[in-house]
Amino acid sequence: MCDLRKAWLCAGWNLYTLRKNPRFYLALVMGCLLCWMLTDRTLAISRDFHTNLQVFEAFIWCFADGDSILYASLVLMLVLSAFPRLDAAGSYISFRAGRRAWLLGQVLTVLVITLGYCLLLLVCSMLLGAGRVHVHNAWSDTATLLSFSPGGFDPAFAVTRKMVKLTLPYPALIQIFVLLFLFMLLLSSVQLAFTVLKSRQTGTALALLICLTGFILTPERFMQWLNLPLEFTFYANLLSAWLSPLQHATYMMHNFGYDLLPRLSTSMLLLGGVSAALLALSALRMRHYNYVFSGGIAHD
Amino acid sequence: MTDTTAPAIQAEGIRMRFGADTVVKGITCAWEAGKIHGIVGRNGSGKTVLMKCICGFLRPTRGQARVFGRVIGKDVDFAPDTGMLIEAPGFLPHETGMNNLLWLARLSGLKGRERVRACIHLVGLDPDLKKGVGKYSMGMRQRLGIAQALLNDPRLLILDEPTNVLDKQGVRDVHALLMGLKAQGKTILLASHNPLDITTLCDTVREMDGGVMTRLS
Repeated sequence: MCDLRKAWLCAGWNLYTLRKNPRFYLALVMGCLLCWMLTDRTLAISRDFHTNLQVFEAFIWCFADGDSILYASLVLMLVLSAFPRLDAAGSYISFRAGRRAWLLGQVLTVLVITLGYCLLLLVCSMLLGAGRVHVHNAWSDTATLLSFSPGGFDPAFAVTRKMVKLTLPYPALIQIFVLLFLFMLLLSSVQLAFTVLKSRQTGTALALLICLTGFILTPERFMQWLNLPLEFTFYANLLSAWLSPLQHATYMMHNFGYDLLPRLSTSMLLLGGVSAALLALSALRMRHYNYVFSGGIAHD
Repeated sequence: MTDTTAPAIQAEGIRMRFGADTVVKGITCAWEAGKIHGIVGRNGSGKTVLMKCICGFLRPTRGQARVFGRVIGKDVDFAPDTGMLIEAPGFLPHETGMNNLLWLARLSGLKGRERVRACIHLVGLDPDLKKGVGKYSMGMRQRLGIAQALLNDPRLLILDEPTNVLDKQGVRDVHALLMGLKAQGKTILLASHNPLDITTLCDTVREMDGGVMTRLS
């Protein structure tokens, strides 16, 4: 109980230090800008065709897509690269809290920041669509237009007939939000674990490497590497969906009951399980971690 | 219940290696409670590393440290009932001294602001000073560092060059403060380059050279 109180204090101190951190404000602004840029495609169609939107649709159509998740995650890394604080200030905090409470504090910090950032994206996307939205658990005219229009729209849209037919906005929102959160949590856990295991540079580099695999392990690249003809696209999708962490976070790359892609629950378990394992590894390593700090003024 | 007859600090064969470089070479010694103990030595002789091992920041490659009978890294993470000033604490530059210390006090389970105010007063600073620590002089920061070490009224103080950047008056104030703490029965382990610290304050003095410790007096 005492540990938990101290862990919350450590997390509180971490968050308190963000108040004067310009990177934090830059990430907030960039997150909002990114949200505006990514959701504008959907909103533009709603504007052009004078169709309404379900309140969460801008978020759903935007973050059901892997690329959007990747861009948003990279912005989040800007804030999270400041943690864990292992400088003199962090060491003095750790001395009073104890190693276990301190690490738990870092985990809480990561959870709070990641969750807060995901909520920021959600709220931002909701505000951008304000004025022509409804809150019912039913797809809007814009969704119908995008998914059933015979002419079709930009194929980059994550709106598909499959999604509109198989699910409703609220369950889709929850699933997409959880996938987004878990992918960002995975990046944060990699960063935290490898900072404690090796160094801050290694932690950040590995988190960026995971982002990079999202760019690399796409179905198109598998088609190219394996020289697959078009009729074998399914196998490229399969490889990408199972091997790429980003595709595990991409709603559309999942099994909705009729193929061999990972199920949503499988991906959630994988992303959450790997994150939990990494955090447990950090806890083990933390018991023997050597604080190498020199004094001076902290950079907050 | 801690055994009061036991030494405050015991180093049992502490060896610390960073890569190929052995910085502390199997130090075994005990420091009695209720006294001021000095460690002198050149830069890079291993004083700070030894103190970090005793505090619990570094896990010795071999051997162990005991503080009040408790093995650091086994029984406890960090030295119990201890205040320390090793290097300078990385205070948050935009926050006041009071705010910086309030966070540390909360983590130590201290409630209210009175203890923090008292500690800041004790080192000759103004707790109501509104400027951020980043604008403090080096000496003021060092005084604030000493104040944070005293926050939870510890039985043991581990101080690495506490008078390093202080002016003459500052040195005199710290000396008086440490003598007062000794009179209260506190144990103080002090590393210093300043001969005045050693001659004025210390009951025992050990010298470190190349990671090895010898007793001087």
